[in-house]
Amino acid sequence: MSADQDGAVGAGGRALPEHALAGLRDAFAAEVADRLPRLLALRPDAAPDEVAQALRDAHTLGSSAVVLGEPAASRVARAIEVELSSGRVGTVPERVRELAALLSAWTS
Amino acid sequence: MDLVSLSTVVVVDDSAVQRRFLRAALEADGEVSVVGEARNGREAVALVGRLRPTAVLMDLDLPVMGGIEAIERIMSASPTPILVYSAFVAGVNSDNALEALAAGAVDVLAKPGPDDTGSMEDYAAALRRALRIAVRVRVITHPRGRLRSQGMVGTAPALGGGARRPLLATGTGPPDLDDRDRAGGTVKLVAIGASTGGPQALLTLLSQLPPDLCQAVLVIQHMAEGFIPGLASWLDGLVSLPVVVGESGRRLAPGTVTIAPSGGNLLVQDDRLRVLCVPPDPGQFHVPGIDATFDSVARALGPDAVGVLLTGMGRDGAAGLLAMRQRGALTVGQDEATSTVYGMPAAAFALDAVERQLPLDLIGPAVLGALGRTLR
Repeated sequence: MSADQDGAVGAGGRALPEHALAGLRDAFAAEVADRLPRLLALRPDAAPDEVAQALRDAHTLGSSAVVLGEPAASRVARAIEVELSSGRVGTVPERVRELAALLSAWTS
Repeated sequence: MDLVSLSTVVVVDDSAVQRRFLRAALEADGEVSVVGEARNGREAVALVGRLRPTAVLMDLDLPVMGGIEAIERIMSASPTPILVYSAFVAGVNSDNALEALAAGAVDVLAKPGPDDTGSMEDYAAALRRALRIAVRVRVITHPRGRLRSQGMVGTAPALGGGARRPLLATGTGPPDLDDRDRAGGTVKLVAIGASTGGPQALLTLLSQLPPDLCQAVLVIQHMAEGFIPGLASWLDGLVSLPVVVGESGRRLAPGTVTIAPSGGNLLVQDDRLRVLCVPPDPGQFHVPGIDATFDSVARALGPDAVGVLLTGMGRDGAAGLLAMRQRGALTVGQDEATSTVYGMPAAAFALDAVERQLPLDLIGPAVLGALGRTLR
């Protein structure tokens, strides 16, 4: 969990209630556990439906990472989206490994 | 808690994180109850039909059935104020926002990205504010979803696709000619103000203007920073007149629709239609402001302009339209029955700023009548 995680969710104005924050963390951990392995398994010769699923996985992780205060992970997820959208699947595995490292606190 | 004022909301997102965040954000002030969650467009259509919530908060990028189609179907079967929030509506993706508005959504918010500096609680507060406005919008059955289900329309037109015709027949009757002799030769500018529900109303109105129009058209649409270029591109692909974003120091071109840029007020400087973009007044809520532009048109052109105030919440444009009328311009207000929100036109009507109050379909013919033209 990154240092700015709590700050991003709760800072400024009225903070979300603690039970909501706990639920968000649980949901994000579940999302990472569900989607990251699919991204890690993506091969350069992936079928179109696998690429489409990977796009959705990267997009969801990117959006959710912002909510949980993981901007660096969100940026990498967005970069993966761009590469997948451009058909550059071959460069994706390296990016996904970078994403996995940034999200390692959520998989332990 | 005042149960009478409690708004019920269905949230639609395929991410459990986002759904949880939305629920927590919306329910934080005790005025909203999230009564249902949908993971895709198809679930959303069914859930809204069953629960009949006060409003819907929906992402656009959805599996099974996409957000645009879901909006069309909801607005066809169970008209409900829909507030879109999505990562795909800002910057280069702003055409998606316009497509959502055209499909019947009442407003669009961009999801925060990794480089946004505001906190998520700031964003949550923005969502609550937008929802408070959205639930006050009186929505009407939107025909596109119904026509699509009957195979009468294709997919939504692509940005800049050159369709060059209205999306839908407007049901316009015979031309409604203005009974005063404006001769058409003296009017130089048609100034149009719009807010909530504006993009769809603008499409209907601008689609009725012919490609050889001799007058300049200036549009002031309340819209968040970054969305105006998308609005211009979207309209440019659908109406016969070219549509551009205004630039400070330039002149408004005849036969061209110029949309006021975001970030300031666009003022008409003189009867040669030179415009200047100036910073908004301190505390000005809507930027670009309609009052400021209409007032400048009144001073620069007097009777040689037509003012039109379309659907929108609040009262921006009412005082400016009154100034135009007092200087002899024809002033038109959209009527209550066809307004998504009868706020600005109502305020103008109450000030006696509206010379002619008309249903949306008849505003184009009335404007053309004032220009000495008839609807083709």
